[in-house]
Amino acid sequence: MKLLFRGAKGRNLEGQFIMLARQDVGLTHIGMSWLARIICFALVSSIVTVFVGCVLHHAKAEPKHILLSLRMADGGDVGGIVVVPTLRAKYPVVICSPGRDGNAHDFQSELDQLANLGFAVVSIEHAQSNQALFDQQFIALARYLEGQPWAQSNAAAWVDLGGGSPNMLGLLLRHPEIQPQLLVTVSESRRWELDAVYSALRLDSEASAQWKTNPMPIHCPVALVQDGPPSKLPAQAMEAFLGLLRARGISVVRETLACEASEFDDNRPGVLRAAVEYCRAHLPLADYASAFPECGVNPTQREQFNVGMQRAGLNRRELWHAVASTRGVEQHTMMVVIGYLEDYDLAHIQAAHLKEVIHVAWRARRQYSWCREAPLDIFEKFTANPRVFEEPSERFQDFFRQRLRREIKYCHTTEEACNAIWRWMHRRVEWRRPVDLSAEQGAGATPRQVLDQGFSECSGMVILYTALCRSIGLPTRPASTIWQLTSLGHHWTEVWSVEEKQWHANDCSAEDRPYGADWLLRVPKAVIHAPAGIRGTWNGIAEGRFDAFTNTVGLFYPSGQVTVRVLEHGAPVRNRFVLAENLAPDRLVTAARAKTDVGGEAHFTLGASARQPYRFSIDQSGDTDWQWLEVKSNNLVDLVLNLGCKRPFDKKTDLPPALTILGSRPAKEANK
Amino acid sequence: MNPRLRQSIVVALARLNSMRAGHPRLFSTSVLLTVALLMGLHFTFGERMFHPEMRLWDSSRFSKADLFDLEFFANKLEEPDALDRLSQYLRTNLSDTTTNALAIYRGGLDSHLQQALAEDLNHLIQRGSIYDSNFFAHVRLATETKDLLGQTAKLSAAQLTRLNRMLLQDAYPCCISKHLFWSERSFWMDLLLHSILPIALWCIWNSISFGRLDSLPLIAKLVLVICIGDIVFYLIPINLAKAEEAQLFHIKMPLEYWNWWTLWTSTVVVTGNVVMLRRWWLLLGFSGFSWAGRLATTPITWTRVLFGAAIVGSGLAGAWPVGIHIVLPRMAISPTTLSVAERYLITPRLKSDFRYITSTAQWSGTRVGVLIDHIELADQQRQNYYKTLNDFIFKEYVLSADIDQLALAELNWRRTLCEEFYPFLCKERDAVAAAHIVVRRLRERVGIDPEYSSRVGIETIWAQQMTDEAGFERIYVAALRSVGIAARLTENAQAELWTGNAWMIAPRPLGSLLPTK
Repeated sequence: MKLLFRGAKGRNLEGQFIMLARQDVGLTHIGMSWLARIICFALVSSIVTVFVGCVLHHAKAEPKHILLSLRMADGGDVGGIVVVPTLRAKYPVVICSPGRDGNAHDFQSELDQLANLGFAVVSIEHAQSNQALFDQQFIALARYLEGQPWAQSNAAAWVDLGGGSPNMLGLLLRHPEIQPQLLVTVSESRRWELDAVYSALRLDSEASAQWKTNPMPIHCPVALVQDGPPSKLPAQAMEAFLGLLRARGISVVRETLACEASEFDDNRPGVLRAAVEYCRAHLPLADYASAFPECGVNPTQREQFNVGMQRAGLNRRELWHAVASTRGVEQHTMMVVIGYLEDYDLAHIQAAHLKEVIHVAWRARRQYSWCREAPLDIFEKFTANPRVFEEPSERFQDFFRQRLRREIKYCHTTEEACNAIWRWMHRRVEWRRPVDLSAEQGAGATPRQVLDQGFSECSGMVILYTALCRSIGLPTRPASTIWQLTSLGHHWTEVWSVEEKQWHANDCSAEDRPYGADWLLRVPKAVIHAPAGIRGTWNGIAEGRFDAFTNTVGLFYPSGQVTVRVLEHGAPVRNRFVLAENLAPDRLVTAARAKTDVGGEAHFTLGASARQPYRFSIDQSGDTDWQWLEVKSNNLVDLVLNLGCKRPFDKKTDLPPALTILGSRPAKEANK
Repeated sequence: MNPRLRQSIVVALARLNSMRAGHPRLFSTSVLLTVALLMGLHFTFGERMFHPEMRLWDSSRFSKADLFDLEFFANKLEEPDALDRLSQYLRTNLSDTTTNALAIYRGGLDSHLQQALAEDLNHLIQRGSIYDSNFFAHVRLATETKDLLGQTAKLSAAQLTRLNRMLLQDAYPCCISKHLFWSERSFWMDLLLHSILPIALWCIWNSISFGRLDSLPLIAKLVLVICIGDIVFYLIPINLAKAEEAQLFHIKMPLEYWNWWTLWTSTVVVTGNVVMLRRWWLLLGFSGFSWAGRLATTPITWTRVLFGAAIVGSGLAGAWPVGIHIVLPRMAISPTTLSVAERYLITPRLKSDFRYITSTAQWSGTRVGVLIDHIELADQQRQNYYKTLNDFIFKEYVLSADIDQLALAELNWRRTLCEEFYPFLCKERDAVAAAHIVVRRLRERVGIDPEYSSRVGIETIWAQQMTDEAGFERIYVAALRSVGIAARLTENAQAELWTGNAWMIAPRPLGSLLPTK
């Protein structure tokens, strides 16, 4: 130490060192003090930052209010209020007329709710009696909206809460260049209003003679909203009015709002809400994808994404952040994934969770051949997917990826990877009978819960196996069957094989069935339901919505096709559901359900009948027409059911006929 | 004063003083450890010996305290549902005494009826297996019960009695105490934290310091004091509770505060062990830094020790309830967190509600705070619209959080809906008028669109702000319950409410302009 403090000129600096050391104590104290100050400062500043962040976040979550003050051509002003959602997108516009005695600011809080539905809402204080002034105000407003980046100026609806419709129709008549997509007018149930419309459209004057030969230039559909029966408006007068408008080429519909008369008059915010919901069904959706011009989604995916964002409701902001924080291909996948997320996930999922799903999926796609070579749409639907069935949402992707990466380090094919995961899973989880488990331990458990508890039934193991496969990039989907001879079924997984270029059925819950095992023909199957990667399949089987699934029985099991025609008095009936059922020992079990098309035909692909034929019937309450039908492998069969025919069915007496041939393979005992 | 007694006190004080002077840290540590150990033992075992719901050594027999929700249970037995075969079976097996007591029962506590029911149930469960698949078709059996049920043929008589009791517990989870389940888990945690750990520390410390410190007489005296204190501590509230039960006087409030005091025993244990950590540090020679020198030069006086203990103790005492009230509600529901929550977060008056609500829905994955919200908010609004509300109706149609019966339960709705609607109903005292306001407000927030046909829960409907007609009826029921109006879904999936005398269809919402499917 002393050497260190010897100066270049050889002076002994020991004394100075001691002095410095003494000072060092002081310096240390000063240093500690500064450290404490820095810590205090950091603490205080972080608290302030969090507080300010919360305030800003809350402020940002609220729709943006713009006070409208437009200068018209003649120098006058028109006032109002515009409420725009905060997310950067192009919104359809609803222009509200507050009614004869109303004010633009009357429904301010309701306008916020309407903006949350995905609209930009304008409430305007327009002239009530001066038609020329009214025209100028709306023209000024239309020009204002054309210049706004958030407005879809070609997707506007005008909603009149009473008293404004004569002016609106008059404007459309005089200025055909300004046309909304929809005009909704809420009738105040008074006769004078009809008179005002007559007057505005000059229907009752000789001057309107020209419209008797030429249609009026009002191209937008007009919806006239009334309260439910009994309405205060005279029915005959209304019908005459509607007839007159239709005769002039105006597409007008009369809509009835089921409610009490007092409710219709007093609850204007509720009526406004119902009218805007009506607009929502008839206007294009808000275009959230417009904020991401480089995302590369095609028009179908873009529409699905917008629908997903629309259905997310209050969680929309979270999804938007998830998309905004990703780039390139990951952003594309994020948007596609949001397009088919289930309603529950749309309303609950966090941006961080969604980002993890997409990030882990793309990481696997860059790393593993079984993922890289899978088609992009398969990858986006069945690898970058956070859900299997109706299990609680869980962030499992990175957790499983880290645990599996050593297991699959030397795997090169889909089969090797599947088998490695299958072995890994069966070392930790064993299969148990469903009767031994509670709902929380079976299909109601998350993948990590199944892993932690160490046992589950087939659906629970499918949840775990699917999650494991997806976390290392294998496109995987759950599949389930209904056996022909019992009312039971079974779940397994289908893995996309890049070598076979098709789905490969893998019975992951069986301890003796690796990837290559031949097991599918053991028990006769009626159908195999696999999700098609669209919204609504997560609880489709439980709710009997079989049409939400892809039936893959034809891929794996000897099967035939049946076309059922539903007729009523000899004419085909469309949009009727037809059921294909098995007669189990205790009851009839629905195996498949299909809807009739324009030609009255419903198409089924069913496994070849093994012991007894299928029963086909029309899905309706009470007695219906039905028939037994044997399905043979590689056969096409037609069947006709009559809607008017009522045949009672008793399973004790109406026994199925014997089969002409047995199924392709003798049925063996079900092993589960 | 007796001169001999006075002399012995003087000698004891002198001895204490010499010990303190000779080995001050060893002495005070030993005292602290002993206190911590005794408190821990008391905390683990003492409470269970005296507290009726936490008995450790118990047979499968019912006592009257096991029927903690008498009103609900009596309702079930008196008017069993057509589908409730088990209640019908129990009803037919009741003695005449019990049947008569049931007939004259008008709600509230009834010690006589409780005793009679307990005796009848004991008689029933000792007669042989009560299991019948028809009786338990709609009962969600616990895994332990299923395991035991699988071995019925091999069970001894005692085990069969236990199985019968477990079956009844599963069938009436909100009425019959599950003390075997609830206490066992917290018992093992208590045993580890408050007994085994302090015993180990005490043994090690005293073996190290043996020969330098003779603290045994002092320890013996402390044991005596704490045992006496323990008995007094529990005997007083138990007797007070009995007096309350006998309606001699109303002391619910002091009793609840007394229960809060029990938290402090645990605080002392934790404090003792935290102080110990520093002592261990010094004893094992890791004290090479300036703290040791500083301590060596600073004389340890009683004032300083007490001052330090007061600071640490009060800090921990403050941190403990804060931790329980802030951290625990944010934790996911599991048997352990439920057990702790029931013990520390739920007041005795609400324990029956707690047991009911935990037995009626799939709570796994939900936060504890959601459960507490349901219980506390429902309790706050218990008498908003009804002067007297049958306990059965309150639990089934106000408190119950499960409306949808969905596979993926969405139960976190009460606070959101209550905060949304209750401000408009503060002055309303009529259930039907309140329902009119609720449905109008709800319709302004939630639209009806048949396109939203997927069956989702209340949280999703609220977030999406759109639903189909069936979904609207479900969220309507939830909104009514959130403000304290008893509501349920009819067979046609329409919302109906309890007016105080009868069920009626709830006021209809404004319709939709969109075509229904």
